[in-house]
Amino acid sequence: MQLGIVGYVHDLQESTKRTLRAAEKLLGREAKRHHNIPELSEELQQLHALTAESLADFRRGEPAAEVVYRVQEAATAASRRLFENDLATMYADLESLGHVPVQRDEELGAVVIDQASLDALTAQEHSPLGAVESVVALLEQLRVDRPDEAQPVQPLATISITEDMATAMQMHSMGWRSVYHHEVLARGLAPEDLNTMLKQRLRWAQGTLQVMLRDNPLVKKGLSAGQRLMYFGTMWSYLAGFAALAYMAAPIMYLMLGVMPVNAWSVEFFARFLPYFLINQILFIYVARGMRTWRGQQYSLALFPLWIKACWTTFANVVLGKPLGFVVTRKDGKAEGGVPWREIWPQLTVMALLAISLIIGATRVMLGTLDGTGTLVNTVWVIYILLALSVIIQAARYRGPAAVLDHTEGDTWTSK
Amino acid sequence: MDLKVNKMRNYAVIAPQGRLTAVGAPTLRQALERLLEQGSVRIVVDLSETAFIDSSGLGALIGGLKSARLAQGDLRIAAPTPAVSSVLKLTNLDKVLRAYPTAETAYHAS
Repeated sequence: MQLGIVGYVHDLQESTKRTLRAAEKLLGREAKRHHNIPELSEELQQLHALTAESLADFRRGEPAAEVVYRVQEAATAASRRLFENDLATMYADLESLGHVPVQRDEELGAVVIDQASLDALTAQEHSPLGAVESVVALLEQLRVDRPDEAQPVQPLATISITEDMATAMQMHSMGWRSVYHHEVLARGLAPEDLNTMLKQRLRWAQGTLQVMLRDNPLVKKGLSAGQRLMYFGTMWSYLAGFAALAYMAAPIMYLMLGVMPVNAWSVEFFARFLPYFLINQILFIYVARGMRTWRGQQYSLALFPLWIKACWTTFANVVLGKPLGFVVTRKDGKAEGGVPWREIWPQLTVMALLAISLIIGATRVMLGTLDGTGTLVNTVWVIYILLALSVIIQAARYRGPAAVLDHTEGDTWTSK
Repeated sequence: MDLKVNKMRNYAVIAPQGRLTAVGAPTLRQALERLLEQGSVRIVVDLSETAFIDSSGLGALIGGLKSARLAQGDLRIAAPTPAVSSVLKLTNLDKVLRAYPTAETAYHAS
């Protein structure tokens, strides 16, 4: 609710400023363009001056509603003046012909058209200012109630397809606090086959990257330093696909071609690599508090083609305005049929290359054309990657718990 | 706004197309004056393609009516669109300018 109203007010301020600025420019231009119709041009000029003043007042902090009301009042008054002027001319013409169909108020000497008709004839739709069509559109936009846009309670962020994360970040930026509660409170359905899961993860990645590009936590007002790092870390992690390419290419190149990825094994290299690697692992063990994180490590490496795809599709979406091609996760947990070969061939190819490079490396050591230590380190690395990537095969073979549930007829789910 | 002028044997048809407003009204006034100068004093304003009219447009019509009558002619209107009819009704001008169904029938009776 708070989020909705704050968002609404922010949007309103922005759109009011934008509209006033556009109005000022447009009125000035139209006043010049119609200089051959003096009455109209003069009204447009006056309105232009008033809009410029109002814009200045608005920038000084005067409420949008009042500023806009003033401009609208002026526009209505201008309409009336133009209309009455036309009417007076018409009346004079008709009188000279001796044919006056309209009532005449003797005391005022003015033509009387009933109030409802007068209102209708000077309202936006029929306003003589409407001669300048763009002015009509502008007046419509200046309506502060914005009947077609208002969403007074906009409780969810809509800049991303991972609206939960984007919303949480907006709430944090407003000063809300969140805590981790280590207890199951609700159960949700999760994908039960590889295909569905890959689509879901792609959307998570795309949604998170959308937020990174549209509402970057590093520059977002109101977040604490820790929150900035956390949210940015979440987004940053989806760039891992490109790093994975290097991780995999390095040992393959070394074992097959003898090309060293870094020109310093020994002390120089390990002095830099080991502290980073160990601190990372220890931190993982510490924050996980006994929960296993191996599956997470596996997926962060094994889904590398997905991460890369997410990067370019999201860039195309946010920067170039291309659609993301959103596919909803099936909520019935039904498999979408078979192994998604098209999605996992990069992983399978890499695994095959790694296996081949192990054989070639071993052969080259036996022939004496490859260094023993280097091969050992690379072999360990290859085995680590293979173990990580193996989760894809495991997942592709997984058939879900549905098979098990089928046998327990009459079993009911209860939720706390 | 575009203006189509068509001189028939014993009357002239003038058809404003689009929005007849402060921007287009001077054009209409000038065209009407020119017709009168050329001696075409029986004029029909065909409103079948006039999408919208405002007080300036009405002013041009009435101004034309006055000039035509002074030149011993007349100005009649034909086939107004619903948008134009409603404005004529709101201003009571439907009592001054009787709308004929088509431009051809405007002077048919006389």
